[in-house]
Formats: sequence, C-alpha cells, structure tokens
Amino acid sequence: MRSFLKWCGATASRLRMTLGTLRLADGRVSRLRIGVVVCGFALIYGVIAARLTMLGMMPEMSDKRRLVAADSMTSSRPDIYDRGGRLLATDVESSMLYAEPNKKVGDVDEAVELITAVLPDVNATELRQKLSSKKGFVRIKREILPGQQNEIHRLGIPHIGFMRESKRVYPAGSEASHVLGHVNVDNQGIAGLERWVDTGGLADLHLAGLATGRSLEPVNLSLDLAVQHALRDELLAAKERYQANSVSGMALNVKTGEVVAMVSLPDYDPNVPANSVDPTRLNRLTTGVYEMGSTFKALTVAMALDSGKATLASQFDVRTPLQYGQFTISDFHPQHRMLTVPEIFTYSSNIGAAKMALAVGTEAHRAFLKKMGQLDRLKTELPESAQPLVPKTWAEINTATIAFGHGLSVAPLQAVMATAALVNGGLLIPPTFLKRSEAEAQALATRVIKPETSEKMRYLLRLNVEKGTAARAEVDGYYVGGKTGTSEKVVRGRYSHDKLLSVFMGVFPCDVPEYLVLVMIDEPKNWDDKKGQATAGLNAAPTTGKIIARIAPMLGVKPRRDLPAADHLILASRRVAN
Amino acid sequence: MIRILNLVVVGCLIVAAVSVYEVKYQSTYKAQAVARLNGEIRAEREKIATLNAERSRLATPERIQTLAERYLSMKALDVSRIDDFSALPEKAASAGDPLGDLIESLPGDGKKSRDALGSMIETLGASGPDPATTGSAGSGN
Repeated sequence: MRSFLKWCGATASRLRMTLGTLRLADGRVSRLRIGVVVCGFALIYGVIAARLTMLGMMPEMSDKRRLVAADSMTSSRPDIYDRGGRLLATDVESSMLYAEPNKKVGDVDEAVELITAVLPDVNATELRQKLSSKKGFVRIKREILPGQQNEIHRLGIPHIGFMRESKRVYPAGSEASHVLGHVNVDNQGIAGLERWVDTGGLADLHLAGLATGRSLEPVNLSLDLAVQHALRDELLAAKERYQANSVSGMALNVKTGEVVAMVSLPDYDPNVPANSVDPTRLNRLTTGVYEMGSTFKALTVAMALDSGKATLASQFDVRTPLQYGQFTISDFHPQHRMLTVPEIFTYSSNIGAAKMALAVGTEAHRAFLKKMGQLDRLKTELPESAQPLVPKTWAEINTATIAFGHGLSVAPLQAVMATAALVNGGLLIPPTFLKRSEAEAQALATRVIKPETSEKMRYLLRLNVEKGTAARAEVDGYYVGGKTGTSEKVVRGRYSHDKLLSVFMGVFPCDVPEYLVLVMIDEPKNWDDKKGQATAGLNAAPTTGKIIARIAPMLGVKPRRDLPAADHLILASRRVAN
Repeated sequence: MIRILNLVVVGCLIVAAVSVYEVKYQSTYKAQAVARLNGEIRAEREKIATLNAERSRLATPERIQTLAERYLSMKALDVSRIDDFSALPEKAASAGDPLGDLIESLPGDGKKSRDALGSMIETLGASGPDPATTGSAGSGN
C-alpha cells in the first residue's frame, strides 16, 4: 500500500512538472490540476473501497481469543443409558490444577508456600520438584473444589491454571460393571462397552481434540437396570447360600439376541476400577471358557433330531457304560434299560447323548457345532472374549464326550446363543449388548435347525421341568423349560469329584419362548440337604426359578395359567403359530 | 454550492463515524453477552449432568431395595397375584337407587319438572331422605 502511495505521489509530481513545462493558459492549467487531483483521490478511495470489500467478503479470520487454560477440557465420552433410559454412565466435570514450569512460575518457594496453604493435602517437596522442573505441563492436583479454585485464582501465581476434566461416573455402581467396563485416568475406555465406544472412532476424535463437548450421541444398551439388579440380587443370595466360588448369570431375549442382564460375581465397582485387575473378578460369561456339562445335551439332541437320525420315539441302549480305553462314560442316574430320546434328555443320560452323537457321526457333529458357533471365538461389543478350547484331533471319543458337554470348553455366552437358537425357531442370532429390534435381529440371523426341531426342543425342555432334573426351576404361570448341567471341574489335569460347576439354562414361556436365563454356580458347597449332592437341579435350577419369578413381570411377560402339560406342547405351539 | 456540499459531506462523515462506533461497540457488547451466556449454558449443562448422575445414583434399584427393606413392610411381588381383567368375576348388579330411578322416570326437563320432583319428594314423607339431602339433590339436578 505504501509503495502504491509513493507511486501515486511520484506520478502526480511528474504530471505537474509536465504541465508546468507546457505553460498552458492559467484557467486550463488549474482545471486540469483539479481534475488530476480528483482522479487521484478517486483512484485512492477506489482502491481502499475495493480492499474493504475484499476484507468484507473474506471469511472471518480465526483470530478468536485462543482457548485460555481455564477453558480447556479433557476429552469427554458419550452417556450410556439402559434400555429404559436409565443413566448408567456419564461425565461429571471437575477441575484440575496444573502448572507450566517451563514458562517460569516465578518464585518457586513462594508459589509452593501459597499453594500448600490453600491445598493442605499437596505434598510440598513434590510440588517444589514439579515446579522446578523444565516440563511444559505438570499436574498438581485433581478434583479441586470451587472454593479452593477461587482462592488459588486470587493468589495470582503466573502460569498455573485450571483444566476442566470430565470424570466418568457410574451411578449404578457395581450393578452392571462387567458390561459397562471402565475408563482409565485419561477417560479412555479400557474395558467392557467403554472400550467398544472408543473403538468406534471416539479415540480418533479424542486425538484430534474434537470430542470435548456434550455433543456425543448417547449409547443405548439392551440391558435393563431393574432386571440386572434383580438378577444380581438373586445371584448374590445364591452365592451366599451355596458358598460358591463364583456365581454368574444372564438373561437373553431369544428373539432379538439382546442381553437384558449379565452378572458375574464377584464383580467390582467401575467407579473404583483398581479392583477390576483381580483375576477372580473377571466376567466369567465372556472371558471364561467352561465345559458346559449336560446343558450341551440339548445341542446333541437337537442335532440328532434335525439330522433325521433320530426321532422323539427313537430308543437308545444305555444299559452298559461306554468304554474308550481307560475312559468310561457312565450315567449319573443309571436306568439300565432302553431309553427314548425324551427319557435320555430328562434322565440326563450321558451314554444316551453319546450314542445319539455317534449315530450322527463325528464329522457331522463337528460341523453342527461349528454352525452353532461353538468352535470359534464369539465376537460381541464386549472386547473381552475367550477362544473356545477345541480338541486338536476330533476322534470318536471326542464326539462321545462333547455330546454331554465334556471335552469342549466354550464361553457361557456362546452356549447361551446356541441354546436360544434351539428354542426360538432355529435362528442363530449373534448376541448384542445394544438395543436391537426384532427386524434387525432377523436380518442378522442364520437358520441352523428346522422350525419343527425347535418345536421338539421346546417340548423336551418343558418336559424336563415337569418330569426331569429341572423340576425346581418351575414358576407357576411362566411355563419354564430348561436343562441342568453339572460338570466336574478339571483340577490339575484330572476331573475332580467334589469341585463342580452347576449350570442351568432356563427358557420361558416354553411354548413361545421370549427369554433365556442362564445361571452358573462355580463350586457350590453342600447345603441343607446332607446327601452330599450339589448337582445343578438342586442349586442352579431353583435359583433360576427365583430369578424368572422376579424378572418376568419386569420384562412384561404375563403369567398364563391355562397352559397344557408338555405332552400337548407341540399341538399347542402349532395352534399359536397358526 | 461547494461549501454546502462540504458541510453535508462532513455531516455524513460524523454520522457515519458515530454509527460505526455505535455498531462496533454494540457488537462487542453483544459478543460479550453471547460469550457470557454460552458460559452460563455450559455451566448449567454441567450442573444438569451432575444432578442427573446424582439422581440416577439415588434411584438405583439397589438403593431403593435397601431403603424399602428397612422402612417399608412390603413383600416381593408374588407372580400368582398377576392376572388379566378377563379373569376377574363379573361385577355384581347394583342394589338400585330409588331416588335416581325416580328422577330418570320424570317426563321432560326444565324448571317445571324440577318442581314436579320437589312435590314428589314431599309426597315421599317420612320414609324419604332428610330434607337437607333432598334440597341439595334438587338444586344439583
């Protein structure tokens, strides 16, 4: 601009000189001079106007006040709600005092004295070290109270400031700890759904410094806090009653694959995540793998029925135990006669289940379990998942033992998914912890067994509650069906006779199943009955019954009292389908 | 002529300068107000979040159950108590309302019929309801 003015001045003086030398008539000279001046000014103002227009047209320069320290905030996270809109996790603001020692805090000793006067719990020597260092950023104290903040402001120490931090809080405490997971000190999810939230791009947003407001879409879980609490309450009682090592359980919507409740005890409070590293507090339903015992017989029977190798009327010889080298397969409740398929199921005959699986064949058995998702790691939103322990070679003995749930260890959530497929009409739906509609579930589902087979499985499960090992799971009006499973735990490479894992898979209402409830009791001790039995029918089954009686009304399942006995179930379900 | 033009231009200049100053001052003021309001909104949002968290903590089923067990003599819901309306027995027929029936049976409406009602009530005599009740019933109708 200056050079332009100079140029204008120079041009004007040159013009004047030229005009002077021409020596024209006075009047004409003055008119010409005025004209030149007018033109000159018009030009200058024109340039100014043009420049102003340009400035006006330009987008606003980013010379906004830079975020001062007191306004900055560490990364925030989306709120997490349960399916009923109850808050499970949210960010609450707190202030953190920091200093920038490399910018010269002034007299360090004085600063230390002043700060420790306001914040007595700050260690003076540590603080002096921090302030004397050459670091660009040191944290002095987290969670400063508003009163203290004002006082420190008034001290007027240069280059110390407050940063607003979001602190993650879990109002429901331990209730849903394993599903929610927790965050680290930097508010990054390190377990459970919190981790999943981060993998969904939030971590990148954090890095870019974008996720600072409250603008993030909330996450709606499939979990129902009321059901979750009821389940946890009953499991706590069961843990106490049976003096168990651990008790875990879950409830799954069989039509959508939504997990409405999941508890693994002992658990921890995600507000105090330090406890989560204790290996006994793992989520056993997803990170543990177990031999699911007799509950696996449901899969075996479904496979045999679906393949057409057996019908409900087929009989199998269970009189003599099966012998494989030094390994003998015998029954817990030996019957010493030919058993039909429903009898094998209700007496929970190991020999019968093994024979059914052998009738189908080793390869087909393996293929069926693969199809049911029992041989691969199950991926859900929860980052913690365990790889099933599958035998390296799959011989006849493996088929025989896996038929009754030994020799293959799977994550309980995986077994629940497969059992749900057996009763919901034959659709394998990957379980989820997020809200999902039935239509969405249908889109994800794969058909694994025929609807007729599923109908027969519902009949067998119901029959098992009416006449079999699961009698104590019955809840009047809810038509519970289920399968018990008691497996001996492997201790130092051998099956132990007194360390058991009791499992129960309960389905209700069994004619048109809506929910599946799993209860798993690890090492239940003998209780009031002195026979020395700690089988699932005596602990896991009644616990499931109590849970169903409590959660079914919450889940909106109405009790019905006009339901037929199991023998009529197949007819009844046809009627419902029509 | 030029002098008047100059005066007008100078006047315009002063007016323009004042108005520009005014606009600038106003915009600064408004920007401050916006910043302050934004700050307040943010602070309120934070408070709401804190209160929400607090409310959720107070309303957790675990806490409610503990309180209920301590202070209320309530029992857990028994499933057998849940039933359909259709399972309820039919409502018993009403015992009948002699005065109501009487009013229903009255012909026409308006003041005249009310007088008729009054006279009828009077004819009920000692067996009828006490006068205060009939009075209110009469005016109510």
